Amino acid sequence: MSSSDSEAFESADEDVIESKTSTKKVEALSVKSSDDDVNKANIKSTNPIPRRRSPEPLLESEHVAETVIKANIDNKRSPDLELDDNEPTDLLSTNTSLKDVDGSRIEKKDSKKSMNSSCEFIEVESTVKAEVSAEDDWEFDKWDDDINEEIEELVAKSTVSKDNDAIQPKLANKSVEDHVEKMSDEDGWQIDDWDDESTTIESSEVFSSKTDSTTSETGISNVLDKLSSSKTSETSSGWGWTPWGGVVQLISSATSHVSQVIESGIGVPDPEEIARLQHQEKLKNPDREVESDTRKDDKSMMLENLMSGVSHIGNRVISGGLDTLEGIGKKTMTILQENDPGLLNKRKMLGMVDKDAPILSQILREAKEKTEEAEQSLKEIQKQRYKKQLHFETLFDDYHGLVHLEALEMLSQQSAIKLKALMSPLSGLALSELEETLNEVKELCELPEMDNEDSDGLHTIEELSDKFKASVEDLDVTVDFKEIIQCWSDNISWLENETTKSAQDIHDKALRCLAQTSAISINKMHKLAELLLIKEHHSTADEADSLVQITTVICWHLSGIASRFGNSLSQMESKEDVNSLITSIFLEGSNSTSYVQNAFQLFIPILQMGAA
Amino acid sequence: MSVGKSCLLLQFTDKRFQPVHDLTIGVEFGARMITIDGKQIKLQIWDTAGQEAFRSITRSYYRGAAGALLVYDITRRETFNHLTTWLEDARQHSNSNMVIMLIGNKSDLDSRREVKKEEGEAFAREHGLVFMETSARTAANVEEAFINTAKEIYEKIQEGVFDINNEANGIKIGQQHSPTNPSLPGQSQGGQTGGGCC
Repeated sequence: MSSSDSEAFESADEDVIESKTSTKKVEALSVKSSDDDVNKANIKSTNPIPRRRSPEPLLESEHVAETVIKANIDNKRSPDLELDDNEPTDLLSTNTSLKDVDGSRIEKKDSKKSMNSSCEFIEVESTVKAEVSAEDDWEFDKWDDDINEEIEELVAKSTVSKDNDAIQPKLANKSVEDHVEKMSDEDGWQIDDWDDESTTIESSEVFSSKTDSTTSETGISNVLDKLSSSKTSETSSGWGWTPWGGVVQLISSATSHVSQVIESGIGVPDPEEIARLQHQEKLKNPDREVESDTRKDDKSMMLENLMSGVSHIGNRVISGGLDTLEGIGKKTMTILQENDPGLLNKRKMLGMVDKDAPILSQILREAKEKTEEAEQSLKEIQKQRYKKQLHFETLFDDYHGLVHLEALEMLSQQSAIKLKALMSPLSGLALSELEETLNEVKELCELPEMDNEDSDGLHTIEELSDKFKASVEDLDVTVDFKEIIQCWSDNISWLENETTKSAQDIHDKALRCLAQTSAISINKMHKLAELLLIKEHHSTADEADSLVQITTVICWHLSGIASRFGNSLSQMESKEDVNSLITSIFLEGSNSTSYVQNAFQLFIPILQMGAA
Repeated sequence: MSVGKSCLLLQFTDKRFQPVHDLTIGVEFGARMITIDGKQIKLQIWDTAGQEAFRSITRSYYRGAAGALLVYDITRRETFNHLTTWLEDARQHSNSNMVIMLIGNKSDLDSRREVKKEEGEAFAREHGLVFMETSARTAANVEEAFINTAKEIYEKIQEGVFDINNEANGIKIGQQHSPTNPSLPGQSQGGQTGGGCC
């Protein structure tokens, strides 16, 4: 293999990189598209124009084909480009070294001949683009039959298997890395060293990538990264034109190419096809400009092969893509029609069924009537409910229940603030100890589950009095519940002795009793909180236990009141409205119970203050 | 022996005098509806304990009061001498806009007077307070003492000094839940502490 071989392969290398990148972008569509791009890229590689001018973005494959043809013509027109096989003297040293490299490369290649065709391709990739920027003149002549053959082979191979695609990115990546290395070299480049290295590395990578094709993905992204980095380093090297810029542009051309493939699927003429036709047209009268060089014809033949390969692959991409789209469409319809044969419901939903309008108005009319009815009854219920609720809360406030609760809240908040202040300077063991203490107090303040079945309200004054007495036994604070007991006594006697009571009377009496009892309870709890707060010494466990007992007795008593009055109501002769009154009593019974339970929760920081 | 705060409150809420009173523990409550400027106002009065032992607790209650009555006993000079500390305490733990009225109680016991009316007036002037001598026994000036305090709070509400939407000021817009006057619009509730000294 001569140095001209390597040049050709270098160009191929560049394009291979590009095609790999495109693989990533279009992988969802078809893996084959990358192969297509390889072909296109190879065509492009025969184009000398980018070497001489600033690289033109090759956005369309049609463009590619045109430039290729132009390039051919250019070559034919300008004999100064028609260099013979001798290397230009100004690039002697470089090419010599390349030759050396080639020598070693050939060896390596030989050793790999047993490998599958993709290795061959890789070999192509491994050749370097080094002189791409160095050589101002591109020797198109250096395309020899050898190369043509290789490229044709390459085109054939590129259509083969996905396996190859997996390997290629990695290798492309590798060579890019090498390029980057070189590009950042201010002096220019030591191709010999570098090329040698790259070939060895690549040949070993062939094996690794074969076994692990998953790495190719990262390889591609690496290529992109390297490409961008190489671009920056290139500007510092002072070369007027960067091959890497061209590569980046090719990447974009590859993506646009994919979209064109789809376009052509819907009737747009295949760009490749157009290019091929144009090319053939040019070939029909080549003698007008060129007559001597037979190798030109070879190239033309090669290009034709490439073109047909490209169009063939293009068609495959299109048909594959259309199949996929068709599949998606069928699936979508199947899903849409599931549970809705003929899409009747969906059409209705979209207002596409004519008979919908009168039905809708009828439905609305019916709905309106229903709503009005419901609203009417709801208003009445709310009115009734509001009246009752209002009654209880007003009563509760009249017995100073709310204001005692507010005062208890204030004490609770004050204690919480003091606890925080107490904890803020602490840290470590002291803090955790205090936290533990506070948690223990909180655990002591667990209210037992209420057993409402137990409280039928048939308990006597003595029973209630004894329960309260027992609850404060261990508490060294004097607190009495005589108002609660007195209230209960009054209500029992009213229930037992009053003969001319209506259902409403019982209900009102019940609410009064509940409101008064709960207000006094809150009052007592508030007093207890005040007394506990001014106490010098505390036995928090006893205090907590007492409070749990007090709260339990109060709640039991409140449930009893509701039960007693409720039972009294249910025994009434006149059944009108009794049920709603009974419901109201039980509702306020649970209301008052929750007031007391909330008040108890306010005790926790107060008890904690005593323990801290 | 106290200056008579609970007696003043009882006189104001129940219009009666009770010569022997239980020692107030922490705080007790009284409430009364009054009418100012055609508006029904519920005065919720917090009758705080004067005993030194409850001082730390009563401080907790100053917060959220719209007004306070600072009471001394004209028959005992030491109660007058303690005014400064009580005033400082109240000012420190309450809203800075709180209306404070200075009350010299037991004006019916003029024969045992130890603190001249002029002294009370001078103290009030010095500290920007409104001054009044009252008698819980005879009910002299009791109504005026509470209602004047309420009026001053009301004026401050009108001036915008008190933000009625902030309950921390001790003022709540009534929820019109009273069945007797459901259409009343601006029913407000002025929390007042009947502060005092022993």
